[in-house]
Amino acid sequence: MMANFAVLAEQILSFIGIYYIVSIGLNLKAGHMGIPDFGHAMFFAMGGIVVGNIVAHIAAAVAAKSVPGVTVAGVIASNTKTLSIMNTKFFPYHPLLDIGLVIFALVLSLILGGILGWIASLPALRLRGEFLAILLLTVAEGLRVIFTYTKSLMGSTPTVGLSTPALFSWTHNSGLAATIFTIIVALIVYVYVERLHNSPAGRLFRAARDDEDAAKALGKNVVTIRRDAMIIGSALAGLAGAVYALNPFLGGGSVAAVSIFNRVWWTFWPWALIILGGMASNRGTGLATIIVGVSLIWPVRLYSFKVAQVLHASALGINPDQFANALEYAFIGLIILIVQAVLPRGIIPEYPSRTLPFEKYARGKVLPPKPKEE
Amino acid sequence: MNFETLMAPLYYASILSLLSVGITLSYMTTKVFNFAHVRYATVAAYFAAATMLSLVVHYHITLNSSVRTLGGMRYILPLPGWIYAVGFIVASIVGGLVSILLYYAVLKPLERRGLSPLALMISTLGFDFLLVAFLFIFMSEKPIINLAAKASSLIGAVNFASLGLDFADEYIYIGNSMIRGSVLGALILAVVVTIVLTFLTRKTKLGVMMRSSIENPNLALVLGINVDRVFAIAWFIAGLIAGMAGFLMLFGTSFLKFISPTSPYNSIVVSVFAGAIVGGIFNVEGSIGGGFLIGLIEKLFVPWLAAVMNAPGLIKYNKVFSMFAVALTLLFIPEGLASIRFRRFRRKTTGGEI
Repeated sequence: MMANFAVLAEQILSFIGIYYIVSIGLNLKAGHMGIPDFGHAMFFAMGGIVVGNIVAHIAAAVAAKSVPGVTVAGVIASNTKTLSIMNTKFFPYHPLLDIGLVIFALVLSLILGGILGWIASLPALRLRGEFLAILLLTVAEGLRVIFTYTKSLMGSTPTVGLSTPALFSWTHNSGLAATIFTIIVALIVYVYVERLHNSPAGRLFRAARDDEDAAKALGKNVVTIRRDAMIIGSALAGLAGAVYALNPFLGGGSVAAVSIFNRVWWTFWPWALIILGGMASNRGTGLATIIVGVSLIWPVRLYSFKVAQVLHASALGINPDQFANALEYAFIGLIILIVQAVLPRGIIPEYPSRTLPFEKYARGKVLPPKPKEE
Repeated sequence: MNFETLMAPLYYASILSLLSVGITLSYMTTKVFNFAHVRYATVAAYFAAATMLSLVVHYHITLNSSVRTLGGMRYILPLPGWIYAVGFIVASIVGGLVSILLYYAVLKPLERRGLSPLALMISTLGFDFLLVAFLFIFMSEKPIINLAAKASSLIGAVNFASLGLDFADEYIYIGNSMIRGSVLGALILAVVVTIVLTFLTRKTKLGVMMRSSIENPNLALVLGINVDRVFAIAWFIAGLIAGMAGFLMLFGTSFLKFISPTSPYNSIVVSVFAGAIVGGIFNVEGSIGGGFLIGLIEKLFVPWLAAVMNAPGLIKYNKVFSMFAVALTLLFIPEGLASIRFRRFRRKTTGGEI
């Protein structure tokens, strides 16, 4: 019972951490900057590919010298076999290399996500609103197709994909280690986006979103502002992808084109979360992620079978698996509809930047200067 | 190039164009891209399949032909024509009703709260998820397969559960070549829908009301037009056409599996949006053409290109071509192919009268 509870807590925390990073990336683009990105999943997928493909290749190149049965070509050709050999005979005994690879994966996923975001920002400068949303959705779909059917990228069968290297296997409890790692990365991201929110750059994002003409009149280059927001948000999505691939709970130790390019999981779920939390509200997104994480993983994923039993679902011909899926879809649909109807600004609406002067005046230590009387 | 190779692309293209036109109709009226639109077709298809199979069970219909095997797929035996007619009517009405439900239960209340078109687009996404949940619970494949099994016990010797949900076609022979009834039906339906919609928007009072409401809703309101109801009728028509497309999908080999909620590959949505945008999001006839174009690019042009370049792997990448079509259209001719004034080019080339 205790062990079950620990695993459950790790699952929930991993869910919260990963979804926080991916949603906050989307919130930077859609909330702070007003770019409706419906292709968020493609930036997320970059991180998954970094871990599943590039890091695995590098590790295999190192392991090929000492471990029998491991070749660099085998990472794609006989993926499951090669990775299971490395996960049991190589990674547990090389903690320093593992840590280095984790850091390398994080950095590379940030860079790749940022580069793809920069490319995607080129049309974002010309198109507005729903048309941009549709374009990004289509581009993400095109990329998904390319990655699904290119053997050297995602392995031979798109539904199975690539096994990920177990880079936390050198610890006693790799699940716990991965969870702690996920939470630490999420916290760092939270601190970063809060600082960005207060910084001049973050205020520029919202200024250009609210009134583009005014920002232009003040001498700001709206084009570069939009590009920067796109790059940072996409890089964060890439980071989330790498964390997802390193975490054994959500991905189940593999990355596949059907999972990392999944529109519902990595584009529409983050949209629902930032709508629930509040657009351009970093804390709101966090709270929304925690609420959904606790209430989704816990009752929906664990007890949907029991609910299905109570409702005599199988007598009606409803498959319990499908019932769990149905609950999840109904959940996300209801969140979007109810929140938009009842709380259009989210549970924590957008809050003002806490700049240095604002802090001083808000705490009442210094009185604001009196306006000059004419 | 013979008839048989043209059949699947034409069928696919007609269905895409029937779905694209609904996206355009709903976008023109309310300025909302409807994410739930393609799901209407799925819901309608499931209702039609359930109705048709129930009718078979209820009326103890016996059929005397044997099981057809075509390309490794076995089909449910061709049913009497009136059952198909009932299925068609059920599918179109269900599609229309779902569309009306979305308009009145979701879009209107939210619009009254002053949500932006983008927020409304996301709310259609929410409605889409509710439809998926509904499909999972009430219309999961199992009850329908159970129905099919009952029907098969009447007809005898056929195990429907292994057949999926593909219904058989009637075959029409023209000379030496064989045309599938569903392909012909889809083509005829696409043409009829184009003609009827053109007539409706150009010649009838409803069409004039619709166009004026689109052009200037406030002025139309002043003139005594019930803009809400006109838009609702437009949405109903869009749903009706999507329902018809859903009925046609029942005849495609494993088409339904593409749009079923369990499939991770439900990527027809993107092709439909591509059709609507390439053809012209402000033009009904244009979007039908656009859907056709995208369908033919994906299923005819890409296989041809793969054959010419001797790269059979290319066929799988057909969605990438529609992605490029959308990107190029949006970046260079944002109002779609229908907005190009071809007469202008002709005048330039002839250099004649001004």
